[in-house]
Amino acid sequence: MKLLSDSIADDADFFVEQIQVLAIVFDNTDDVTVWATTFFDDDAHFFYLALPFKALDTLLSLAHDQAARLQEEVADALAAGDYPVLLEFNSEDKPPVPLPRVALKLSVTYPAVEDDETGDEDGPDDPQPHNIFYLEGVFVRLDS
Amino acid sequence: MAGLYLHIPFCKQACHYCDFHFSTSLGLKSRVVDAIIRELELRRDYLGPAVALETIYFGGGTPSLLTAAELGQIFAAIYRHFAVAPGAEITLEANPDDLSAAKLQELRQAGINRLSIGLQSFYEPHLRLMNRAHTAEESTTAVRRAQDAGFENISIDLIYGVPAPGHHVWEADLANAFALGVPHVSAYALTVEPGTAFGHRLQKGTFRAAPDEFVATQFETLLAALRAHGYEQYEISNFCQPGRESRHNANYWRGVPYLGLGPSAHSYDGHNRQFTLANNPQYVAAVLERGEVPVTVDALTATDRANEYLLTALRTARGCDLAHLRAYHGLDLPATRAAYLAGLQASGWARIRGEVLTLTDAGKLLADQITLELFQSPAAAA
Repeated sequence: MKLLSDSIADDADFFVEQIQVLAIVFDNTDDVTVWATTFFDDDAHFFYLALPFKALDTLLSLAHDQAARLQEEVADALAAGDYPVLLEFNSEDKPPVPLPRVALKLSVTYPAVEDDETGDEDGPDDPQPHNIFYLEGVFVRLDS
Repeated sequence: MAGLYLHIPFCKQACHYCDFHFSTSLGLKSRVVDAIIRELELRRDYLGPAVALETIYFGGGTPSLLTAAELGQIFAAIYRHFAVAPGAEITLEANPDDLSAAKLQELRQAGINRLSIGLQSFYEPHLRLMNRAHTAEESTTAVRRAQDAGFENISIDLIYGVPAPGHHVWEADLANAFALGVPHVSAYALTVEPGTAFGHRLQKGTFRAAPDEFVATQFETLLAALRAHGYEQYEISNFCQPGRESRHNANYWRGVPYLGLGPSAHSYDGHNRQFTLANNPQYVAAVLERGEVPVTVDALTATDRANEYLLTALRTARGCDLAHLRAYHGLDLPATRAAYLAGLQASGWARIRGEVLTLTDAGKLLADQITLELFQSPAAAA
């Protein structure tokens, strides 16, 4: 398995398909991180997907026959209120969750530059992008 | 002027927060309907002679589980035994999953002119957490379908303070609610009551209620958002576009008499309260087999009446009329509780304009505690 950040061509927004969810992580902020893979070039590429908490429901609802179970799991985790929450789907009992016919539009993120680094001539000219991508949109392929 | 409340004590499934009286076993539904129809006859004199019903309210439970035939039988009995005022507000509480186009037509034809739809949330995990029977999609489609069917007078219920990592879900719920353009919104804080599923989960450690500050923040967000969209807060949990308050509930708070039918219903004749037995089989047996309505009478003392006035008035935008309290209930708060009232105002929790005591937004968060503090004990009244 490769890292998605090692395979992107530039920093423009791009689409990924054939996605599998490996884990959902949230704490007491409004942000969620989904650990996922996308398959292309005969290989799985691992990446972190950052999204607003509300958008998580949209993703879960696209897991077809697993949607209800995932929504129940998130509900149970919310009820327990024991943050941070890590819901893993990466074992024999709980295999990765595919999102069939879903394409995600992602944007590249970079390490934050501290204020006092601005204008620093020794600072990195070409910072390496994170393997964390921000969700820009969710698209579904319609059956032809 | 009077109201009629009919409690339909059946639900398809139990919401995890609900401590109202209901059964998920629908086998007795038609018998309970028969008993309510009989009760209409048995208690037709409760509200006194020549009183026209200004409001009729089907609550629950889930009244949208009633069939067209059952509703028709109930309405026939209402019109047989009571006068109904022209333009009466006739409300039915409904769950989104019951509101098909055909069902909505049945409700319109039966005479329902106002719907109170229990959406609670537009967020699927929260609906699953609360064990609601409907989906997030149905929260929106049910209201749209009702509007398409000609229902303009619609209220929606929302619940805030549901555990979440932040406030995005609540903000999105409010945005979704405003997009529906309904004239009335009821919004309640999630509470964990003993005997509910949440109560059990709390004891087992599999549920943790949201912290008070989290709930308070969402209440403040609610107030700001509703005001920004032109809604008035006419009671702590109830908001409406100008002139669109629930006449039925507003009459409760004004002390208007009402007759409550069905298991667990309350009634008020202007003097005393009555509570109907909260047990479906025993209610049916008493009403249908013995021709008796199993009620407990709560004879209100002067202290009870003063406290009830305080309890209801302080929750409303009209506030508590201190002159009324003094003249009709013999309670002179400015004289007896001057220091406490001054403290409330100094803390920014209440204000007194003329002789009307109202709670500020900050005070509304503490309404229950403030009311309890102002309550008169029987000993004090004596």
